[in-house]
Amino acid sequence: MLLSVRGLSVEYRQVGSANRTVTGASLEVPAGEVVGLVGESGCGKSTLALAVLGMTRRSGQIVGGSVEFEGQKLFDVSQGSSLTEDEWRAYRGREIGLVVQHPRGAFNPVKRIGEQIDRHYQVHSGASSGEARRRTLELLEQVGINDPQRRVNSFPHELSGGMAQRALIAMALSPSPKLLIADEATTALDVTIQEQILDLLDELRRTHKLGMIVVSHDMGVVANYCDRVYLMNAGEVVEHAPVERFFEEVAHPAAIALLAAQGVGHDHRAVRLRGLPVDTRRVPPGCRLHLRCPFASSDAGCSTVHPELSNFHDGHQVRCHRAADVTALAQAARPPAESDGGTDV
Amino acid sequence: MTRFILKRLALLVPQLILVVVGAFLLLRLLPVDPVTQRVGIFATEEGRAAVKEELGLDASLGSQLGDFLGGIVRLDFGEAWTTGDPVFEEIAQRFPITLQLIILGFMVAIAIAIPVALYVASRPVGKADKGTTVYALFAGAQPDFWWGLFFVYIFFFILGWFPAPLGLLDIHLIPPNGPTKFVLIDSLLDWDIEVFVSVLKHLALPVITLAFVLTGPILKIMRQAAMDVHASDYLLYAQAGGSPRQLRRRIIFRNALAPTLTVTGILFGFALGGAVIIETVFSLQGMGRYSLDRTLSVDFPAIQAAVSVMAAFVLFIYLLLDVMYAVLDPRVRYGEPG
Repeated sequence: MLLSVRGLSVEYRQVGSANRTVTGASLEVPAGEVVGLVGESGCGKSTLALAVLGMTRRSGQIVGGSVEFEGQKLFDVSQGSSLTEDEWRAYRGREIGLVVQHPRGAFNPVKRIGEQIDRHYQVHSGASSGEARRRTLELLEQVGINDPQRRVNSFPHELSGGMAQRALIAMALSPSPKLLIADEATTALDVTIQEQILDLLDELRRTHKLGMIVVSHDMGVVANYCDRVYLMNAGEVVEHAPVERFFEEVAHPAAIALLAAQGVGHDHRAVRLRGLPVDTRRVPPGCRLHLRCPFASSDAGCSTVHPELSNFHDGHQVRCHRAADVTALAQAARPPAESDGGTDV
Repeated sequence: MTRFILKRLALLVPQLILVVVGAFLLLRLLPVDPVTQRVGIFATEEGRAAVKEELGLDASLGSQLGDFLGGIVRLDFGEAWTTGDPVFEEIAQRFPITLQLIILGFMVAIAIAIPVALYVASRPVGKADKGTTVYALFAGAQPDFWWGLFFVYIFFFILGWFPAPLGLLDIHLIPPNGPTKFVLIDSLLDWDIEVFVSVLKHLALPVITLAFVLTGPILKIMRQAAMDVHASDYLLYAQAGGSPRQLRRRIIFRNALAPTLTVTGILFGFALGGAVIIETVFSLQGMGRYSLDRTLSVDFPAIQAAVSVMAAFVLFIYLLLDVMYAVLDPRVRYGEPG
């Protein structure tokens, strides 16, 4: 296994309260596979992605869980063990590359793009500046930047969003990482460029056995490029399955809502979560989603018993008391079988 | 970059002309009559006319301005009305005293403020952070002459560490007559260590006073700028990309420096204008005292020259800062093609 994350929890400390934005999340990425991490905004996807690198944003703290990379433990909160700052550097950037959503904000605003990519490569490979520059030009070319010779001299603010995104991907790829975490890396791009980049990454995964975590809320991207899907809601992993199964027999209401909202496969009017995403500072008892969920019922214990992530099928796990009913109802709601068959249970 | 500097330099010329002409004209708009000031209200018409001619005020405004501007080009500001000495000489004696004080004050302030700001920004809401916030408020809330008197009281009167606040040199020492007019530098050039040490001792309290007041705002702005970098995506991303710690420190320093420079430049202008207060407390014959004295005695040549020189110097500092800012932050090089 390239990456295994077990029971990861991240908390943000605020005055007088703690906000646990990721709770006991587990995830595995085999070498050369693409794992999609999906969920509505604010469900903890990006926090989880960053926590894989042992990092949080300011005031955040990893309060539980462990991460293993190629069998090597990077940190384990229960044992109080973690790599030192210097040891981490052998993984951050080098083995595990990260690409984020706002690429222009990810570059140092006062340095030229070329210098930054060169430096990133040099830090991890010890290459000379000449070698680094050759590598930079080659990679910029690969990610589809025209005239890389000129572009290396641009400052981040001089690049368009798409161009900066590609430069950032080139930078992340330069030390040849084994795992790439793409946190909404293509969301800001227009569709054609998005496809180019995804195809490039897909090729790298085949040629270099590059493992990937694709954080996205675009179900189309997930369906086309991922091998496995993890769905998060309110800081928890609530469903995971191989990609075909996920789209075939989706079982969690949050998944159906997400698919329905994007018009993938289901009638959009059928399933909608009510209200705003769950505030992780005040999680309700029982299932975190029960106040918003059209399937929730007190008989099933939705409002009292917190559901565990349990086997629904082989390799398909769901955290829902009513998973079986939900699947059945979702199937029933599928167009064109029924045009206005609501599932307002 | 060269283009940016050239453009900025070209801008300096109209700025300078505006400032110099402005100083000249505003002075003549003042509701004081230098002639009456000199001869009193009971003078005869002939007496008034004679003084007016002597002062050169009988000429038209245009020709007076022409003389003034022509003089500047030859580095000749005319003779001071109060002393009869060439104004250029007087300013050449006094400006270095003020500059020496202010530059040293800024150097000390920056040398303290920047490392402390970087430290507290990396540990926000810590003890050091709270301490510096209290200090910045405290130092900024009290006027600098008050701090000056306070330091004189503590360090001269009680502890006796530094000499009395009377000028730059012990009374028995002969000031160096070097090329730079900066006593500190000239005494070193002459290798007159006794004078050098004496000047250092005399400068210590005014410099400490100035630095004490200046460190507050510089520290505050640098801390805030560094905090912004700490919270930035690019710093987080640098860490996630495995950048070594010292590289990240450099990112913080470099990105926080630009806004700090701007504030420092503005403070410099204020410090030059406000030098009179510290010069008065410490009996230094600098530019601040000079400007104030000559203004009170309505000495047109001295005032217009003093204002012009100080304004030109501040403009020059602004220019320097703009160039430094452009070097530090490429986003402001608006003159350059993208």
